[in-house]
Amino acid sequence: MTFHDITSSRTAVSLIQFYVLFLMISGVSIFVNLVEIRCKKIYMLWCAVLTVFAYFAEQTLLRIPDSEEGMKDIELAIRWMLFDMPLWECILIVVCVSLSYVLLIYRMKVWSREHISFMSLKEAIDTLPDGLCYYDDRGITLSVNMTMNQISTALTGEPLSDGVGFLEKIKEGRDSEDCTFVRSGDEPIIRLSSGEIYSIVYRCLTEGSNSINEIIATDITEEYNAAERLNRQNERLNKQKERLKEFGKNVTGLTIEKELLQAKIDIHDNFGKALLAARQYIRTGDGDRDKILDIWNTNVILLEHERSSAGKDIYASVMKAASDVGVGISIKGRLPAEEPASDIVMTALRECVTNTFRHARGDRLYVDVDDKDSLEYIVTMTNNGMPPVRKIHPTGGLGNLMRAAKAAGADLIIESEPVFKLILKIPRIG
Amino acid sequence: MEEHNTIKVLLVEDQDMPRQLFEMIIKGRVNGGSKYELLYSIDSASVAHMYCDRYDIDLIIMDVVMTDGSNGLDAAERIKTAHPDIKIIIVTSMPEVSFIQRARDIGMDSFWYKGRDANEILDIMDRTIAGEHVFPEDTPVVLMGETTSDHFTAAELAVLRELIKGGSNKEIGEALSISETTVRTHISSMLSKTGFSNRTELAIKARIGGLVI
Repeated sequence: MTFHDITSSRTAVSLIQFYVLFLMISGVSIFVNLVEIRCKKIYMLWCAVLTVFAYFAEQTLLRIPDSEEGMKDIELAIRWMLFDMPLWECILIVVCVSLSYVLLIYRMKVWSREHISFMSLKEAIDTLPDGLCYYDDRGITLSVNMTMNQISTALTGEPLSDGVGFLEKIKEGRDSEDCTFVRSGDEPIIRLSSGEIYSIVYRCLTEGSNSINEIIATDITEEYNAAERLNRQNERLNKQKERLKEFGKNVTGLTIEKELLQAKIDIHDNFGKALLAARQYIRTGDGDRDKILDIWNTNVILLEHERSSAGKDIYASVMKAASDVGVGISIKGRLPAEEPASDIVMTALRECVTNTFRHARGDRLYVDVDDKDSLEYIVTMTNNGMPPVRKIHPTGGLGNLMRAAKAAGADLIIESEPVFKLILKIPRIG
Repeated sequence: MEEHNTIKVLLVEDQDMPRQLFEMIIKGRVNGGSKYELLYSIDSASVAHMYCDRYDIDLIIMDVVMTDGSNGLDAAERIKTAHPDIKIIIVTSMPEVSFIQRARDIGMDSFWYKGRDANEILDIMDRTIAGEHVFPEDTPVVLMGETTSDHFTAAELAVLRELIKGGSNKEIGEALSISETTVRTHISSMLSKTGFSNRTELAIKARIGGLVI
């Protein structure tokens, strides 16, 4: 049976024509796709051959009902070759062509999966969280992704179409309704009204004589917000640190108060025990009378001393210490009575008494207090001992004095020549 | 040390009441008669050295923390260097653990925690003059939140000592020559042990309790 045998059936011929037409159109579509994805040339060539074959087959099939008069020789040759072909050969050819198309479609899909096409590149760039923009020296954009367009719309009110103009807007650093500049300058940082924060960088890329301008907007929202949180935490910690330092200045006094309170509590407890012991002795005669009286005596003396020591001259102890070691103190003017000036002067007096006795081998310390200035005391201390053999560097007790003076906002000057002189300038409070 | 009829004592204590009590004990008003002579009683460690240079002192009872900021341990170290024959007993009410260790390191003869029976000091004085070194076996325990101070390691206490100065982790690390991470670890450990909510609370409680000075 040959192909010619079935051409008498209009239905059969129509079906075959329709199928071959389908193959031809598919071939064209597949060819276009192959070209678009830039597949291997061998596949494109094979597809082209098949499509051309399908075309000629279609043309021949269309003219089956026509008479042979007027046909060209080539057309006649193809017609009779086709008509004489055994049917099974025709079917085989159709099947082979169909399978070839299927194979080409498969290869096309594999190729698309394994290779990047221009469209896939565009899709990928568009889905980036960062903004990208490339333009030439005239400002004509070559590639702008969606994120950059959003930024441009927020900043300028319209999508990015002029790269040069957009760059100028960025350099201007002027806020818009939907975009604020967190930082201006060479690498500005912008915040959109939707909350995203971008760091903008401009570069000019050159290769040979060609140059292309690039603007990249990097999404730093997370990092920026984390940095802000960290800054706030650091600020809070710094305030805590300052409060702790302030506390440290006062806590020594508090600790000493605590110690004193404990001593008073102990005396109170001892009084309680003494009362119980005295009562027991009076009632039953049990106990050591002398010991009980001793406890009473001790506690009373302690309390009397506590009462009498209130209101004592604050400089009494340093005066006594000087007197004990044979150093007299001559004071001109009136020593400060209020803190912190009195504390600093007392510390200075102790240091100078010690230095006069131990190092200068003197026996008199001269103190001059100038309180004429309502803003500060100027206290000068010298002695009648030997001058220092070398320049004095404030270490040890003098070092402590210097730190205490600085903490109170006072100035301390130590002169070593021609004689030792200590000068304190202490601001007056109130 | 030469034999004396009485042992000359210099008392260095800045608080009036404890100083008065010590004076009474030393002078024998408490126990009746004493082999000790209280030469001088002063309220600042900064002038103590002067007395040692001026007078023959056999024994010093030296408080550590003074109101005027002078440090009894510093003064005692200088005196010991210049006058090695003078016996020195360090006394304090602060449970700060570094005091007793430093006292040992600088060659102090004895150490006593105030607040215990005041008459103990006489026994310690006798033993010290006899040549004995009397140190307490343990330091007073301070309650710190949900734990006590004896549950802190030496490293933690060192970090705590710097923390109360208000330093950052970096500053603490630099002061102690350890990394910031190590500082953070120690602070976290102490917060976990004490149940305190933050480092500020930890520092304040430690300072007020006298655990670290």
